[in-house]
Amino acid sequence: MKMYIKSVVVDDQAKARTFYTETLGFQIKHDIPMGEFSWLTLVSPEEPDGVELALEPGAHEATNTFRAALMADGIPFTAFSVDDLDAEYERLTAAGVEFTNPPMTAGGAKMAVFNDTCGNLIQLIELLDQA
Amino acid sequence: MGLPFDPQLSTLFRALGDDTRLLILEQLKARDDQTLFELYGRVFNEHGFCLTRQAFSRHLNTLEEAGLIRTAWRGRTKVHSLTAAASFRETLAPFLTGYIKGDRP
Repeated sequence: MKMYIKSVVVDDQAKARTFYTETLGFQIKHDIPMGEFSWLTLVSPEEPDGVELALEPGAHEATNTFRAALMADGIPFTAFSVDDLDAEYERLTAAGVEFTNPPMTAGGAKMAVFNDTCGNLIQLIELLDQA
Repeated sequence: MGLPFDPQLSTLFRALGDDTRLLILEQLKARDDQTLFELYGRVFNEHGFCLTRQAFSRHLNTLEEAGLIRTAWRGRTKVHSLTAAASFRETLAPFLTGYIKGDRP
């Protein structure tokens, strides 16, 4: 058994497609129209055959209640790893991305949290060498 | 008749009388506008305090009701900031100064 899809529910698929590709830098793997919505998945250019990120429409009201509650408390539900957190923080801040949590060291990792503009907070993690 | 000190005093001491709440104030002294997630993360990482989200949220409410912190919405996220200075200056300091100086009435 392998990991295949990780889903993020988004307010607006078109807006999310732009943010996740142009701002974050992920690549579209599948973009298949299915009625009102699309089956839209992304991969990291560093791992084109890796786990896919599905940008799912918030068509079920329960997902929106759940996401709003996490957003209010500043809690991220999805994490991406980066090699250099400070550099990514600089790059994304310059691109206008809003961070709710500036970089901080937590245990064996450095982390930060940003708003994806589509109803979610995303955590960036740089794993530190555990000497 | 009445109290010989600010009636807010006991509310402030109750709000201050908890290690977690004192740690939250210490975190906010460093920077305003922190989310529950960030405050929780800092208190946990730096001091090993492990609470439920509900318990942590109650501590934040207690601090806000005592007027030691205030909350605001930044977009759809709630952030917390320190407002303790006025309470400390106007209520706590006048009371404590008498004891620190060792004055007798």
